[in-house]
Formats: sequence, C-alpha cells, structure tokens
Amino acid sequence: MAAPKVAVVGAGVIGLSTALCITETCPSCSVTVLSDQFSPNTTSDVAAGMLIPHTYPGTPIHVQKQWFKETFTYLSAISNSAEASEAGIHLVSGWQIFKNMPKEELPFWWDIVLGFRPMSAAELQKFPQHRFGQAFMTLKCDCPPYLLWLEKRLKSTGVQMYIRKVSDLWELHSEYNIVVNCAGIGAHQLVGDKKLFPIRGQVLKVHAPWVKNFIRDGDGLTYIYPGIHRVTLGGTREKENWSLSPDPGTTKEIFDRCCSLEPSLQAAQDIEVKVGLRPSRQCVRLQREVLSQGGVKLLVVHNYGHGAGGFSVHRGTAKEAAHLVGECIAALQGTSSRAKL
Amino acid sequence: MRVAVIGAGVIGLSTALCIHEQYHGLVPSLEVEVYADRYTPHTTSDGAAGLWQPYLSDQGKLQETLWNKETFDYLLGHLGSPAAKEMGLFLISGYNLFTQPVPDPSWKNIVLGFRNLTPKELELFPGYSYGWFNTALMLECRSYLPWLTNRLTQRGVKFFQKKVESFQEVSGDGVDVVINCTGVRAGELQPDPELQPGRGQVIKVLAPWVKHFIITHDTKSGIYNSPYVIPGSKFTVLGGIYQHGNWSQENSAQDHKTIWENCCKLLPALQKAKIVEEWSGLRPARPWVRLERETIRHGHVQREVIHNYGHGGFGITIHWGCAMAAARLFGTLLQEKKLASLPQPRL
Repeated sequence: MAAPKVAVVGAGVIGLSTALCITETCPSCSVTVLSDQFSPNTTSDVAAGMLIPHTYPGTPIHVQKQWFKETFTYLSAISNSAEASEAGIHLVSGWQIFKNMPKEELPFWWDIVLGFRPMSAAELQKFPQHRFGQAFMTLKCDCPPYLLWLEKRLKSTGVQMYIRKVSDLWELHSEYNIVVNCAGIGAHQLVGDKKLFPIRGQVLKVHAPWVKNFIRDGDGLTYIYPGIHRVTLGGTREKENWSLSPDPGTTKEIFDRCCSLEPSLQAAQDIEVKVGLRPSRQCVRLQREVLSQGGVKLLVVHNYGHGAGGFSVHRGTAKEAAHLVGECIAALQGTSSRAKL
Repeated sequence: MRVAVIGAGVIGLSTALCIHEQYHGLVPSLEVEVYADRYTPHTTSDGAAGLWQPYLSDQGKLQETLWNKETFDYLLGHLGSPAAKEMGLFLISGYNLFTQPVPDPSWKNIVLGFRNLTPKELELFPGYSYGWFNTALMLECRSYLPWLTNRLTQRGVKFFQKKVESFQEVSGDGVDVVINCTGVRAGELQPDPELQPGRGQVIKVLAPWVKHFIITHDTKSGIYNSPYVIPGSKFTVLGGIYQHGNWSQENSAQDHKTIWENCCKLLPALQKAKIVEEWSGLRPARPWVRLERETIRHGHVQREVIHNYGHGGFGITIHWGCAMAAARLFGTLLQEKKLASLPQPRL
C-alpha cells in the first residue's frame, strides 16, 4: 500500500511528541498534526513542565515507572547537549516538603530522579511549618521552548501542521488511514469520554531570577518551580472546574502561600497569571480503536488523559502510542494484501 | 574618635559597617570615613561571582574556617529577610567535581545538605569520577556593595574618592585609627612579600537555564585553574584561571579560549550562551589572612592600624567573620585608649 497517512490530533506536549515518535518508528509514514491550538496556547504551555510524576490509580506502577524512566533518560540527554537551551530542558534541584509524614516514604520514582535523599535537619530549618522533606534533582521542560523545538524537529522531517478544529474523528476518514487522538482535555467533547474531567490549575509566572531551587509542598498545592526566564508559582487543583479565566482572589492566595515558603518572592516582578485544565483520568487512555461506518474503517490510537503528569511521562506514552500505530499499519497492510486475493 | 577605613571592596565596607554598628552606641563621637580610589562596580569584589565556598582545605588554619562559618551563618540568617534581594543574597546548589576521591572539606557541615555525588550524577560529567553536591549561598557584590554603602550612608559614614599613598596621609588630622582593607595593593602602603596577586579572568554569559554551580578541581593545576560555572541572578560566570604573581588586569585572548573551551566541554548546554562581558581581577593572595593590629611609630607620633587584607579567592566567603574580628580588635583598642585617657589620680 502507499505510505500510510497518519493524522495526529492535538499539538500539546503529547501530540507533538507522539508525532515525533511516529516519524522515528515509521519513517515511511506521512504524518500531519492537526490542532485548533498550538503553542503558546495549549494546556502544556501553562504547565511548569517539571518531571515529578503524578500517580495514576488505574495503571500498574511498573508501567508508570517505565514511562517516567524513558522520558527522563530522553530529556537528560538533551539537557546535556548543545540543544538544551533551545529545547528548554534543564536540570533543577530542590525540596519536596511535608507538614505531615507522607504515606509512602519512597515514591516509586525515587531512583530515577537524581540524588534522592531525605532532607537534613539543617535544611528543614528553612521551612519551620514542615516536619519532613526530600531533596532531589530532576528535569524541567520549559514551554513554549520545548513545544517550539518539537515543532521544528517535526518540520525538518517533513511533517505538516495545520490549525484546524476537528469536531469528530470520523471527519478525517477520507484523508487519513490512522488518527492518533492526543486531544487532551478536548477528548471530552471530541470522543465523548465522560471518564475524562478537568482539574483546573491556576499559576503565576513571575520574574525572580535569584530563585534557583524548586520547592514543592507534598500536598501538591503549593509549589515554586524556577524555569529559564520565569518562576512558576502554584497552584490549585479544582476538580470539574472548566473555567479558563484567572481568578484574582486565587492569584493573591497562591502568591501568599508561595511567599510563606520563599519570602524573597515578595520582590518578584512582572506577575503573569495563567490557567490550564489538567486532562485527568483514572489512567491514561492509551489504546487502539477501530471506527467503522458503512464498511469504511478508520483506525484510531488514543493517547490522552495524562492529568497532572503529562510532561513526566510524555515520551514513554508517545513511544507506546507509536508502537500501537505500528500495529495499525501492520493491520492495514494485512487487510490490503488480503484484499488482493 | 575618627576612624579611617582604606578600601571600599567587600572587606572595607563590611568592616566599616561592623565597627559602626557595634561601637557607635558606646562612643557617640565615633566618626567613620571610607577612603578608596575605586568604588563599586570597579572593585575586585565586583568581578567575583559571589559564591560562598572556601578552598578545599584550610591547611590547619582553624581561625579562617571559623570566620567562614560565621559568615555563612550570618548570611543564612538574612535569607528570609526582605533585604535579601537588595543584598544580592540567595541560595544556590551545585557540584564540586574531582578526578579522584578526596577527603571531605572543612566546610562540609557549614553548608546545607552536603553529600557525595551518585554514579548516575557523575555520568553527566565525563572525565570526573568523584564529587560533592551541596547547597550554599550566593552574595553578588554588584548588589551587596551598594547595599552596604546605603547602610553606611544612613549611619552618617562619609566616603572620599582618593588614592591613599601612605598611612600618614589619612592618620594626620586627628584620625585615631586606620583600618587597612586595601586588598591586593596593600603592599603599596607597607611592603608585604607574602601578598601576591592571584590573577583571574572570567567570561560573563547569558545562560539562565543553568541553575547549579559547577566547580571542577585538578590537583595538578591548582585551585581555580580548572573550569568553573557559577550562575548568578542575571549572568552566569565562567572561569578557571589562577595565575600567581601576574599583575596584569588586561583580558587575555589565550585565557578566554581556555575558559570558553573548557566550560563548554564541561557543560555542552553553554555552547549557545551569549557572551556579555569579560573581566580580569587580582585575588589578594596570602598564605593566611592578615588580620591584626599594628602600632606604627613615626618619631613621637603613634598610629594605630588594624590590617584586614589578603583574603585570596575567598573574600566574600570569609568577609563577615573577618569584619567581626576586626571590630573586636577595634574594641580592644578603645578599651586601651579609655584606660589611657582616664584622669590619673593626683599623688
């Protein structure tokens, strides 16, 4: 058959990295990215992009660990290369602190990040309200740079990208053989997935270049993540809240919480407020589906529902999605050779 | 009582502040004046990156280790204060890298979270097989010196732009004590063969993606002659030059090449960094810090001098401990003078 035509719907970190993986595993494929939003207007652009995994209740831990490890290894190599600054990938060290002892002493990812150890008493003195803490070093993917870098890599392999709102996957059946659904929170409408729900996050992006370490409260609500040019201060986790408008009361509240952990933030300048809807689900939907209407088939691979952990596992899930695309191609080729008989 | 401080780098200004803070209440007539030909941003201190880190070994000079600790603790205490940003003070973590195992440094329990590097971390630095990771402090003199200047100005301390050629010059006119914080050029006021320049050159770049300091060590080349990368609040400082006895303050093309190539090899992510500035300075190197009193006699004139110079490449690291020690010497001087000026009982 002619080169399989693959459409990737969605241009956030999941869509772009999945498209890239597909070009790597299937160089003969024609890959096109379709999305109503591109950087800097995707959910990914709001996120800090810290590699600290979120635990999906519905996925086996060893699978999540493998996804994280692949992503960490992939980004680590970029961070240690001349491309690091363009790709927006850099190492950052810091502390995760707890007011109450965490349920598990060691998170499943402790041996993938670097230098993981409990904080010393002297280090904890900086946080008088917290009784326990973990120090480690991890990676951060700054957006827009990372998304723009992915777009550049895709363009150089001949991938076309179009601004297009896809309302129904079926509308693509005549132009493409395989559709990869990386629509993130958009999948709620696009494929009617009621198990997918937003967890609204409001963040502040501020100018505070003297902040070199990250600080994260183990409750996941308060965090300070230094990026290349701005520090992300967070945040909120509001289940089923679809509003993309910043709330000024929340802004002040986030700022105060972060200043109580890092008083020097009082001098932060240029405060920008952003909102993103984490595309949350019990587990990432990473599976094949066959849509058919009147004898015509459209092969679909879903890769969405990464919630708060998109950056942490993006490369691992992208590779798995690319593998599923490979299976789809094999199925198509099987069908087409059978049709010749 | 008039006190003349010569030198307006980190040592001169902090010593002036320490003395004024501690004794102005006790000696209401205390007048402190600062004399210097160079002020911020043209002092040696201004060129330094500002990382708090002593040399690897204190070579038994326990006193200096204590002064380093005093400085670290003092600065750590100021971290949470609103003044921190204005002072140019912030926490920073990073690596020290070696080609072979070395004993732990004298300062391992002064800094925060000191530990050895794990094998996975060492993989990031080919050619280095051993190392440390810890959290320390940055004190950027481009901010700290103006901050000290403001505190001193608020206290009524006066500043004079002047190249002082001799102690006599400032100590006539009723000046009771001279505080000698002249750094590398102290030999011009009083010959000191122990004091030598330790020439350094640095390249300042824009690389805000670098969040950790990296100091490499090569026992063969000696301290600071191995590449280092120190990210500041605006620029990242690349260095790795230490030339003992070299008085040149001109940037050398050869040194530039050495620094740039070695730092990019150490951290490939630097290759795209834009160069903003190049600077060379002279570390005031001495086998040990000269921090002592001296009474200089000139005929029947007696001048009291407190020397506080020779801090090599660790001036910022040790400055507050030395300022406090200099202030204590000043206190002893005051006590002696008071005793001398008490009315003698008539016999």
